Amino acid sequence: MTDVNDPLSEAPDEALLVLYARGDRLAARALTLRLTPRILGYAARLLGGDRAEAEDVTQEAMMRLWRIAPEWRQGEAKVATWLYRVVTNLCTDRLRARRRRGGSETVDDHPELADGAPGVETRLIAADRMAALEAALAALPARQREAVVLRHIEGLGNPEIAVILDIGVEAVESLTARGKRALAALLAGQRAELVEGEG
Amino acid sequence: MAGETELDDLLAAAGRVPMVPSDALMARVLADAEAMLPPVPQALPQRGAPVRPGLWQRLSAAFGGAGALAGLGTATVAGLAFGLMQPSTLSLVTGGYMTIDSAADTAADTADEALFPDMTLFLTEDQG
Repeated sequence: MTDVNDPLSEAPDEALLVLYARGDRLAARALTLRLTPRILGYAARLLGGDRAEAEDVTQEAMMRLWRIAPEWRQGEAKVATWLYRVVTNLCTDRLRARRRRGGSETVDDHPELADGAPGVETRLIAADRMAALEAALAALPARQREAVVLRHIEGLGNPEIAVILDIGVEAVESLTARGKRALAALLAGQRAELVEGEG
Repeated sequence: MAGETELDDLLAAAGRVPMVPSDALMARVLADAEAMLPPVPQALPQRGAPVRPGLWQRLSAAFGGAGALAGLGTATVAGLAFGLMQPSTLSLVTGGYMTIDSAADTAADTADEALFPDMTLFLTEDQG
């Protein structure tokens, strides 16, 4: 749905939000086209691939963005950073609610699994290497998953991740390193699929 | 354990594959944006009494503008200066140009007196 002819497609997020706050419909459309896919993918990964729930989170996060637009103070935060933080918090709430309802378990419930204990590979239902990755991500502790996804999939810097997760930069580095180690351990049984195509 | 490079490549590949939102989701998000769209701000009308012109503005207008007022001021200052100036100071200017022939004009032996004759000359009673 990206319109390359749209002059607003090159404008910064903050400028578009200011335009929206002044009643500009085209700015709303440009922001929707740009931000919705990003936070949908992030939400889906945090929620273990539950697409329907990820769409609900995405809609809620975007609604909060529209709501805050008139009071948005430029220069204090990036719009994308603010949105990632909202999505992170919404997903955390939903995962907690899911746990209370006795829903699917993750490694949060069994931290020892993140150390690559035997049998983890058998839990991964993976048809291809990307599916294996998504399954391994879903099995990570929530904070490690958030840090790894933001750093290595969304491509954000550690200072920005620190703002999103409301922790220090050192804690981000620690979470990311532990998350990657756990991810590698979880994927150990999938190595053949990871390197497929190389031969 | 999967190699770190392979894992990095896999994560990077995941980042390059965007999740495409459904048309229904995009429609819902845009509908929310439309419903919450702030009104377009209108230009505010001028309020309050018009500002009265100041003293200088009114004086300037009365005399025909700022240029006229400046000329009037200059003339006033020049007239005041000539009125207060002592005749002796004029000799600095006139002394170089006017020489007094005392034989021809005994009544005025200085340039100043030639330019500014003493009033007593006009008040002298003719004895003859």
